[in-house]
Amino acid sequence: MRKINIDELITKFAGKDRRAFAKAISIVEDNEQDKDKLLDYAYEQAAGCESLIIGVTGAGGAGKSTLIDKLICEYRKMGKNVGVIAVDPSSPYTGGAVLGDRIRMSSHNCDDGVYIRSLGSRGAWGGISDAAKDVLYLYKVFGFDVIILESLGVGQAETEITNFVDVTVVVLAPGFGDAIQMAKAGVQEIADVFVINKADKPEAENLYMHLISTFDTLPVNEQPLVVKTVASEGKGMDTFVAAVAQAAEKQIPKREQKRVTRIEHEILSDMHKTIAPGLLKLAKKLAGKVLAKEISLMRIGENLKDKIRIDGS
Amino acid sequence: MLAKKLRIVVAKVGCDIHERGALTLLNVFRDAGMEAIYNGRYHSEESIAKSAVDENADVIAVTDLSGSLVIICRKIKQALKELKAEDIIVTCGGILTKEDIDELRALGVEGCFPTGTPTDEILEKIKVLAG
Ligand SMILES: Nc1nc2c(ncn2[C@@H]2O[C@H](COP(=O)(O)OP(=O)(O)OP(=O)(O)O)[C@@H](O)[C@H]2O)c(=O)[nH]1
Ligand SMILES: [Mg+2]
Repeated sequence: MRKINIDELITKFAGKDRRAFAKAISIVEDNEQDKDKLLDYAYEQAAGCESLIIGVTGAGGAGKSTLIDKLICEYRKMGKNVGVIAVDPSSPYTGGAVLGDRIRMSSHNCDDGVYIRSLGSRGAWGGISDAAKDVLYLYKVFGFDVIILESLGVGQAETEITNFVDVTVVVLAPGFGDAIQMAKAGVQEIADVFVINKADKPEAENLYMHLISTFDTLPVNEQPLVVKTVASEGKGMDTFVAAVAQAAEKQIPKREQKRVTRIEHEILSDMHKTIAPGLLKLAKKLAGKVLAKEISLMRIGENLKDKIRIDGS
Repeated sequence: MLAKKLRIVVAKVGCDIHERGALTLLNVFRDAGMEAIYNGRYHSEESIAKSAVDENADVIAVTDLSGSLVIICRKIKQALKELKAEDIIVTCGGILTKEDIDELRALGVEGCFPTGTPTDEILEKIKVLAG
């Protein structure tokens, strides 16, 4: 593979060269040495860029990609450029992945106003690939009016997406567990808009009524919006688009606070990456001592106090 | 942990309905630690070439059982040229005659895999071509 000159790439990127953009994303994903230079550029430029970032999450097969496909159509009708980042799981065994979200969206392949990129999760926590967070900056700078991020299904502790987007959409479909699952996953707290997809199925109405009654107890301005769609037939899209706009409007006063939270989270994630290898080494060493019966497994916490000390000062 | 991974667009062009070959390849590539991207069936050559550019793919692996591989690959090569992305490698598998393979070689399509080629052989060749 030919080595790319980073300054040349950035110049092309700035000139809205699509191929340079695609290569820039890989530099971030592959953690290449020029990554920092590229991200310095993107971070600096992103300050003046206004894109609406929509995060779409929900259980596997709920219809996220199909819904995004139709959402792209709606924004294209309004003349907006759309960039999509679609994350699918990487195999924890081989690191490989089948990236299939495009299947539902490929009718936009030849539209130059739409850019779709598939990313493997590559071992990241929280349903959003590590690279996706940085890649979002590249998308902003490339100048999309709307950026849509499809992340891995909401499972437990996969609520991180909300820190990186303006509007969080959770897609539900009948037959994917009940209210208990939702409560466990913490999705009630993260969603700005709930989509009940597959509303062509009779059980969808139950799910809808259930959600509405759950949120009834919340103060009106904190109630998430709930819409019904049949993504495969493009039904309910006007209501959905309106709900996203309304949710985006509601976010405006919280923007600054969200920006701070986002920065904190990025720093935390970097800290974790920095100390993780050292921690792993320490864990191995301690495991050896436990096995040799030098320390009790139950006393590790005490032992660690002298080894790891971060008091935040 | 983060490292360069080979990215391959598995492509189905035209009206060929057979999908098993494509689905098998997707799994084979994933199990070999690669990232296999799929657009589904019934695409145009232009659509495939554009998706490969956007995905920054290293390879487009076309599979087809309708006997049209020469035509498809020629058009994909042409589309890649127009996108200034001739460096993206094109391989193909499916129904191929000896003449087809000669013609494809002349087009610059090095990896040609007639039905029945063991997947290990396909992987080996792709790694060499993209290496
Ligand atoms: N009946 C019905 N089927 C739908 C609807 N929307 C999507 N589907 C189907 O549901 C299946 C899954 O759709 P996807 O859009 O791939 O779902 P996803 O949430 O993106 O799935 P993952 O990315 O694998 O998590 C497909 O077969 C769709 O055709 C709908 O409104 N009604
Ligand atoms: Mg999907």
